[in-house]
Amino acid sequence: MPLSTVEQVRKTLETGGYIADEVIATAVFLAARMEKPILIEGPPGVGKTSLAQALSGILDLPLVRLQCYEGIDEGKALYDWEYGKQLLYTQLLRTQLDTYLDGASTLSEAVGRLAKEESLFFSEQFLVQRPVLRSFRSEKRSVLLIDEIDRSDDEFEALLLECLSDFQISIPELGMIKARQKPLVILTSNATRLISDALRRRCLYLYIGYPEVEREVAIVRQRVPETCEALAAQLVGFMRKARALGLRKPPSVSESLDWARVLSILKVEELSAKTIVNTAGTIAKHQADIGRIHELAMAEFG
Amino acid sequence: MERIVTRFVARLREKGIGVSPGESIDAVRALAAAGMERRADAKAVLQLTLVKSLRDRKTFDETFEEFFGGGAAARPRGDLAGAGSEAFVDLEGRRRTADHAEKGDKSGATLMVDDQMMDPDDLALDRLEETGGDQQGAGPRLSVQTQRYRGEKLKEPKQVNNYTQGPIYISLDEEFLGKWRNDGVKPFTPEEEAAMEEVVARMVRRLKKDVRQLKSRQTRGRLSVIKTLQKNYRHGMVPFVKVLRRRRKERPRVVVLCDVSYSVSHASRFMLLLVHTLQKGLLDVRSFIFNREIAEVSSLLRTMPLNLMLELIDEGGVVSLQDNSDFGHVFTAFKENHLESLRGRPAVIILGDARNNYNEANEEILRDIRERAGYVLWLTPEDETSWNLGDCLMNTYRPYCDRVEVVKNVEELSRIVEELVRCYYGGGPDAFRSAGPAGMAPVATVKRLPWRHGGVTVKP
Repeated sequence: MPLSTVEQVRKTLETGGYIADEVIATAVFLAARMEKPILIEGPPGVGKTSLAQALSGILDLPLVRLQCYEGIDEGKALYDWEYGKQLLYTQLLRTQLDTYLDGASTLSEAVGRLAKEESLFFSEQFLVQRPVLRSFRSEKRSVLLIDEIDRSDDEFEALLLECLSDFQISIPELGMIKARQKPLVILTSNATRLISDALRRRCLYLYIGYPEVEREVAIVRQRVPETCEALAAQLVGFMRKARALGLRKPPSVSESLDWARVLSILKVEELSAKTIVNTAGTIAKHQADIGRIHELAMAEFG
Repeated sequence: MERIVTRFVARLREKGIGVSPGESIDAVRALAAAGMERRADAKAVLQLTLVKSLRDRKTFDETFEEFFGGGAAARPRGDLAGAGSEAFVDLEGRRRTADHAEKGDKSGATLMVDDQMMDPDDLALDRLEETGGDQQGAGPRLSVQTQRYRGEKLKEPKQVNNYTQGPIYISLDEEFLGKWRNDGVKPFTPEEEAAMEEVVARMVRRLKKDVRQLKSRQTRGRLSVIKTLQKNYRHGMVPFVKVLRRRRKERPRVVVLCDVSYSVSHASRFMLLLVHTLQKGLLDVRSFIFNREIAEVSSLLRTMPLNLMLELIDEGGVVSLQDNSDFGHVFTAFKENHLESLRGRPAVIILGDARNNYNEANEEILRDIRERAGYVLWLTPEDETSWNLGDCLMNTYRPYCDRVEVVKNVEELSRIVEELVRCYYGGGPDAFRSAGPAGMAPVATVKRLPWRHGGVTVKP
């Protein structure tokens, strides 16, 4: 079992391509051991979603992803009935239905007969399994990633509370469906809105911020192996200064990785002001920010 | 181990981090699962299970260092289990001697232990048992007294205050006179600013949640036929999914007139901070500041960062602060320049102490303003007893206001504004009018009977 100690968790994540620090590794370890969901908050682009993907990769578990948005409800997250298919089947089976209901003399008897067959039309065949139900029903234990939960609203969180605490869904027509294997649940949030306290208390709370220098250098070198040590250090140093500038969209780890890839395509050995000015579009995504990156580049390397 | 975690959780709660019993159980289970060999591991485990928001992280770090740092900070702590048992000793020490006190009489052992300063070696339990005498070497706050009375008596409790029943004398010194002369007001310290912002943020969070509920309750209930048919196109127009009508979002309108003279400057600054935060989502606000002249600051509030704007006001860049307050003039100017441009029937909030410096009162103009506005709320920082002292015109203006409230501090002001916003969303301005000064009356919602009764509305 590759998750027996915290240290081993960290090493396994590293082989899976995710450089984790102490807290992240501890969170994963506890989540697996105590079967609690993890709520990950942090600025965009620091590796929240990729943690779930790395986990599913290294543990060889299927990843079930639920992307939340404003107005998402039960029908899109848990399960839904395929009305269209039910209607279609009713139409196609009309002749059969006629013969079945033939012997009934009164309307109430006919309805009674039909009611006996109700379970036909509300059966597994017409049930659309949305991500949460799919993860509960999968044969293998799965990783359920509920992405950007801060974009949904309070009612959706209340719904999730029920599912995440008992790992079961109640479908009125079919009864209670318990999870065959309790999934490893990861919720991510960009902290644009406060998640309700009830949900926070159910989960382990992990904050992934911008990484320290060593970790970021390790991440860059692992994802973009062509980058040499010196260039990676220069790159990360510049990025950290850029983050302190107070840009409209501060560059995060994904921008560092993009930039490293761009630099390796351009076969750059060392950073210079000219290179930064040319490739500023990978770091800054607003016009005003690009101007300030240019200034910083001049100040550092010019 | 559970006891240590429980004490740690109690300390966190004292510092303001809410930790539920379920979470502390989780923490204990997690520590058992993860092991406590390394301090960093254990800290990570406690952080994951007990701290559920970023705000509390800093407090948690400090409390962790304080609690598990132990007595001698200089000693390197690599072993949390060791530190844990020392803390155990500290606490046990305290508890132990409390037992002593219970067993003996009043002059039993009393031990004052300061957890942070104590070096655990001094509090070896066996030493306590044997010697039991004064141990006044170790820390500056350690004194033990036992049943066998030896040594000095404990000091008498210090006299803190003298409560007399005689007349109270107020010395008319500079500071006191300064307050009456409206000068020498200290600006806000950064801590006060942060505290104010915290109060406002909490209020806005509360309001947003409630407002959403109130709004959603209001707009549900009526079917939108066209949208339902459109949505059910693929079901052959059979309405499996119904779409309800959504009323247009209408934010309540408020007009705020803030007196920025020195006597009211604290309150008006807070009011501006409040308005600035509320206008982002909850209210449609037009804000004015006045001293003798009146100026509109709504656009400034929207665009400039708040502290810059407050500095600008303090310098006198918007409205001259050298003049004396003249409410009559302000009302006249407001009526001439701005009254027609008010949309809807907003609620007008006037924040001022009504000290007019013996100028003209012009209270009829306040009556005109009220007619146009529909609701006038006056907030004053002075008590009712001082309303007829000096040049205060509160009693003159009072009949023309729908409501007059005394706001002495930040909490009261935010409570009143919160009430106003809630009432607005709940039942429109009429609800606020009917809510007396005693507090919020239950919001009266108009009940609508279903269609088969012809859509008749029934007032409860």
